Amino acid sequence: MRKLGWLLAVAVALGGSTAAAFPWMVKHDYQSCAVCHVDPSGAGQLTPYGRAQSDVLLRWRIKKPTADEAQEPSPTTRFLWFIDLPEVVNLSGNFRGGAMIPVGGAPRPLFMAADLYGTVKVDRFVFHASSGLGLRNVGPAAILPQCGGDKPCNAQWVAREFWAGATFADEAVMVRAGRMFVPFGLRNNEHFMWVRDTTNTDTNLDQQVGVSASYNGEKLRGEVMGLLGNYQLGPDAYRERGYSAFAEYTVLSKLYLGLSSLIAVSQADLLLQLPQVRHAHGVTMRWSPLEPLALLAEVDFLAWQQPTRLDRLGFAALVQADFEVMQGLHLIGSVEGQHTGSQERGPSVGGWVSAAWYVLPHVEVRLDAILRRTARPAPDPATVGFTLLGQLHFFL
Amino acid sequence: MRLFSVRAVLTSSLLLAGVALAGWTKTGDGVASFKGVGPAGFKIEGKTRSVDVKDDGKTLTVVVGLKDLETGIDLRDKHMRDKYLEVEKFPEATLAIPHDEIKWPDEGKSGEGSGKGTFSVHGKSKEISFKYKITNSGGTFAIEGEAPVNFKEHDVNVPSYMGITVKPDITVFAKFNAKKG
Amino acid sequence: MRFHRAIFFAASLGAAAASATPTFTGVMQTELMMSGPPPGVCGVCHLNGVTTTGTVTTPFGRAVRMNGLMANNDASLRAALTALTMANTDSDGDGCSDIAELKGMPSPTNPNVATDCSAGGDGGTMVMDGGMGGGGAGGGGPTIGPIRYGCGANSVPELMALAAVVALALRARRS
Repeated sequence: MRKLGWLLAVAVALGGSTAAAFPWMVKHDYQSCAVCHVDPSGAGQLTPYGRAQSDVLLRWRIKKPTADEAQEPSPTTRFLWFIDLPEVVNLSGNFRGGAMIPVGGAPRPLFMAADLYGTVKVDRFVFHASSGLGLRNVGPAAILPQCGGDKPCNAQWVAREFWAGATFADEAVMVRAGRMFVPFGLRNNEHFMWVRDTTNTDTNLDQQVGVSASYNGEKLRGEVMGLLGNYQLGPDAYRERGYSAFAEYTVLSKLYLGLSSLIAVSQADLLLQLPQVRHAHGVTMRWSPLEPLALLAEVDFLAWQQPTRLDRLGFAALVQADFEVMQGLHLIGSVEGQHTGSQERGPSVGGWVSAAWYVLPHVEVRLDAILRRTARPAPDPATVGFTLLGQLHFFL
Repeated sequence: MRLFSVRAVLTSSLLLAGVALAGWTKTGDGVASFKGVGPAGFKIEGKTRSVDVKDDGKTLTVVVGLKDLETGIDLRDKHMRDKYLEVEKFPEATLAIPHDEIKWPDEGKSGEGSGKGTFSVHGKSKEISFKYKITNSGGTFAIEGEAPVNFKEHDVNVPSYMGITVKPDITVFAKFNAKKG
Repeated sequence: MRFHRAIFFAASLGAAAASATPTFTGVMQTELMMSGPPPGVCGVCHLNGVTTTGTVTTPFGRAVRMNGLMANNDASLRAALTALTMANTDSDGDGCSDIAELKGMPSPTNPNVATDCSAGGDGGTMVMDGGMGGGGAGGGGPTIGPIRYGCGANSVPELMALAAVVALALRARRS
C-alpha cells in the first residue's frame, strides 16, 4: 500500500502542473476565460486583466473588503513583482515545486515546472510562446536535448506552447495556428485527474500542433481544433491527428453546460504499436448556486479502436465542489471515476480533498489528499493508494 | 474595473408603469439591474434593490438609487460608484414616463407594450424607448421593463480597465410591484 | 499518451519490487496479448522462479525493475513493459527485443535466454526508426522504432515544407 501511495504521489508530482486554470471562476460570473487568459479557452498565461483579478479575487484576505475599502491591485502583481511592461508585451512565469508526503514515509522534494511565458499583441494579432526547464518526464514537450528510448527525459529545455493568432469581432473570435492546449472538457487545474489523463487533454504535456478557431460570446463559448500531431515526438507513426472541440452554453445565470468531442487517429499506439482510433466525447457542467460555491462536473465516454483487438470502451467522470471559505482560501472536494475498458472488474474510483491558499501575490500553497481505488483486469483485486501532496506555486 | 461601471446608467432602466392614474406607489421589494458586455465574451451585471416609484399625476417616475449598486466584485463597485457614476454627486437614475405611455391591464390580466420616457443619470437626461410587461393581480401591478441605454450619451466615461473596455450600449432592467394608492 | 505518461512516472520511481506479485503474469498476458503465461512464468523475473524478496534478478527482471516495477502494482508493470517496448530493450543480447520475444507467435521465447529468435516467429524485432511497421503484435513485419522526443529526433516534413514556403514568400516579397 505504501508503495502504491508513492507511485501515485510520484505520478502526481511529476506530472507537475504548469498552467493554472480556474473553472470555478464562474462564481464571479466569468464564463469566458479569454478575459483573464491569453489562451481564449483558458489556462496558462494571464492577461494584464487576469493578473489584476488574481490579486483582487484570488489573493487571500482575512476580511473581505467592502466596496468602500476595496483597494487597487497591488503593484506587486506586475511581472517580477514590480516591472511595468509596455502594453504590447506580456511576460510572466510559472514555477511549481513541492513535496510528496507518503503516509508513514519521509517527505520528498519535487520540482514540477519552471516555465516563462511571453505574448506580444499588436492590434488584432497575438503571438504567444512558453519555454522553460523540465526535470523528469517532460518528453512530449522537449526541445533539447533529444531523449526517449534509452535516454531519460529528465532535464530538458521544453516548449509547451507556441502559436500565432488573430482576433475578430471585437475579440470574440480568435483563429490560431501552432502548438496549443487541446480544447476538451473542463480545463481544470488538476491535470492528472482521470478526466484529463484518459482523454489526453491536460495542460501539462498534452499540447498539440494544430489550427483552431475559438468563440467567446455573451452566452456561448467554444473552440474547435484540427489536430496535426505533436511534432516534438517521433517517429511520425505515434502522432495523433484528428480534431478536438468543446462548446459551453449559458443556461441560467452562473449555470453553464458544455459538450466536448475528440477523435484522434495514430498509426501506432505506444504499447502494441498498432494503429489506433481514439474517441472521447463528453458533457460538462459548471454551476455556482451560491457565491462561495462552484460545482463542476464532467462525464466522458471513451473508446479505443485497434485492428486485431476488440474495441475498448470506457469512461471518465469527475464531480468537484470548490468552496471559498474566505477570499483566497479554497476547500475542494472531488470524486472521480474511470474505466479504461481493459477488462477491469468495475470502475476505478477516487476521492480528493484539497486546500488551495493564495497566500500572497504570485504565491499559492496547495495540499491534496488523494485516495484512489484502482481497478485491475479480472481476476485481480483492485488496489488502493493514498497520497498527500504539498505544492508551492510562484507565478511571476 | 472601473470600467465596469457601466453602471449606473443602466440602473435606471426602469420601467414604467404607466399609469394613467395619479397616486401610484411601489409595494414590496423591487430590483433594478443593468447588463453590459465587452471584448472576448466579457460581461458585467449590476444589481440594486433600491427602487422606488413617484407619481405626480402626470408622470410616473421610477427612481433607482445607485449607491448600493453591486456587480459582484467590490473593487469594480467602487470604480463604478466613484469614478464613473459619481454617485455622491448623482445618487439616482430615473426614468420618467408620461402616464399615457402605459396601458394598464384589467384585473387578472397581463399586458405588454412599449413606450418612451426620459432617462436621467449622471446629470444628463435623454429620451429612450422601453418595453414593459404588467400583470394585474387584485389591484397590485407587477411591472417589469427594460430599455437600451448608451452611457456615453449621459457623459459617463467609458469604463476601461487593464485592456478591457465595456461597450457603451448597455441594457437596463427594473422589476417591482405598484399599487394605486 | 496514457501509457507513455505512465512510463514516465514509473521510470522515475526509485523503489524496487522485491517480492512476487501473483497478478503480474496475467498482466503480461493481457498487455502483450500472449496466448499463455510467459516462458518460465514467475522465473521470467525471479531467479530460478523463487518468488521471495530479492530474487527479481534475472536480466529481464532487472530491466523491468529499472523501469519502475513495484510489487503489487500492476500499473507499474504496464508502464515498465511500455518502457521496454519504447527502448527496444534486449536483456539477453540475442538481437531480439524482450517484448518481441514475449510476444512471439506462436511460441514466445524467454527474454533471459539468448535464442535464434529469427526462427521463432518473433513478432518483428527489426527496428526501423521512422517507419510504419505492420507488425508489432506478432504480425511479422518490422516494428516502429522507439518513441523519441525533442528537436532533431524527428522528421517534421510538414513543418519543414511550411518553413520553406514562408521563406520563399518573404524572399519574393523583399525582391
